[in-house]
Amino acid sequence: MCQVDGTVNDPIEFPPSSRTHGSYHWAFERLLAASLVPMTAAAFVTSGSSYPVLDGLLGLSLVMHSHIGFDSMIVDYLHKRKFPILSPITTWTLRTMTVGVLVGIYQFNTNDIGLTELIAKVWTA
Amino acid sequence: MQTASALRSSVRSSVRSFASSARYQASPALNKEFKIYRWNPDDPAKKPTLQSYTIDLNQTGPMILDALIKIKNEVDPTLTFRRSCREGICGSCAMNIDGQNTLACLCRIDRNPSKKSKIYPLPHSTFLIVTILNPLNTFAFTVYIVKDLVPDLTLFYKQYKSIKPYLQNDNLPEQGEFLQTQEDRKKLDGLYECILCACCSTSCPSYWWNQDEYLGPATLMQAYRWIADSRDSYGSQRKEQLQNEMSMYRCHTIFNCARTCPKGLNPAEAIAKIKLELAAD
Repeated sequence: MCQVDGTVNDPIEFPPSSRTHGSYHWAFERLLAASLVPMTAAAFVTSGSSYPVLDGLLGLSLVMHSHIGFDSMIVDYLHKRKFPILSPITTWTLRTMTVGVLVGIYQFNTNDIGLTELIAKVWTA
Repeated sequence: MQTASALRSSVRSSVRSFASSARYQASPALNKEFKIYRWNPDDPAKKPTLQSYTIDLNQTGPMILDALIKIKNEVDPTLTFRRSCREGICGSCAMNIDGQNTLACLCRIDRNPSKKSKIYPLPHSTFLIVTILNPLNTFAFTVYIVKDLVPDLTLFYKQYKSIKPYLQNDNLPEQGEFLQTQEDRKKLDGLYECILCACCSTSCPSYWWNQDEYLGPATLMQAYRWIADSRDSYGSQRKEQLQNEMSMYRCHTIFNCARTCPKGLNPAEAIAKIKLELAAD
């Protein structure tokens, strides 16, 4: 009936311990999310062309934040142990997208008006 | 003399008939329909169904468990459910009543007869889709149903065992018992009361998807109960076990656990405290 490893009296096994996948990942995720709040506020009161570093930092943080969020969805719903083919495909698609978006934002910030100016323009359009 | 005795007996009989009418003239029937999940392992090809039972609430005790016992005693002896203490301390009668995981013995019957009460077993993940998509890949799962309202909690207990839910300390006191300050004892309040009914774990979406790897709120709260115990000296090992992607960090602070707990405990808070301790570690 219920498929379990070992007998019913054996405890389950823990995966190998890794702080990178444990508390470091969690702390980084929370710090990043929290720091996005003042960064967004700062971008709101300044302009992207006069503070390009802030503009770049905001772009980088936003992309990392969404990458971690999407990655968490893959771990939750498309984990490798259940989907040995689909899961790696999704993971690598996400990684490619993230790198692509980062390159795009870098190009947009250096050669065009940049993220903050774009939002300000769309806002008033 | 004769008239007095006749009068007395007539008074007595009228008093008796008044008393008996008060006792036996029951209030009118308050019939209510219960729809109860049925599945029989002896007939596994037959899909689970909801079976209707109508009983008179005025002939039934106030709780859902009273209704279940009445149905089993008087209507359908094949109805199967777990129960023991009938006062919310054993955790046997955990089930999903009108959409909420709770203990049948602590859940009052809604006396509105126009509302049907639906009773399901604790929610169990339907991994059917996964096994169809992926028939070669077997993995350990899940809360299954043994019969009717009886869930199979094998995995739940194996997970509980894995966090070593007992005192670990290599330095036994010279004599007598381990001593603890009142403040340290207070840290265990709200943790030790858990009766392991599995209402919280089976209400957690993260546990539904990943219960073979994620420990779930009930087990994690007990993990914290031993981390927080001043008499236990294996706190760092206990914490180190949780340092991975799946065992604890699949908790996304959904709070279904705290909302559903029939004992009013807060497993989400205990998990948050473990996360904080690990981050500060």
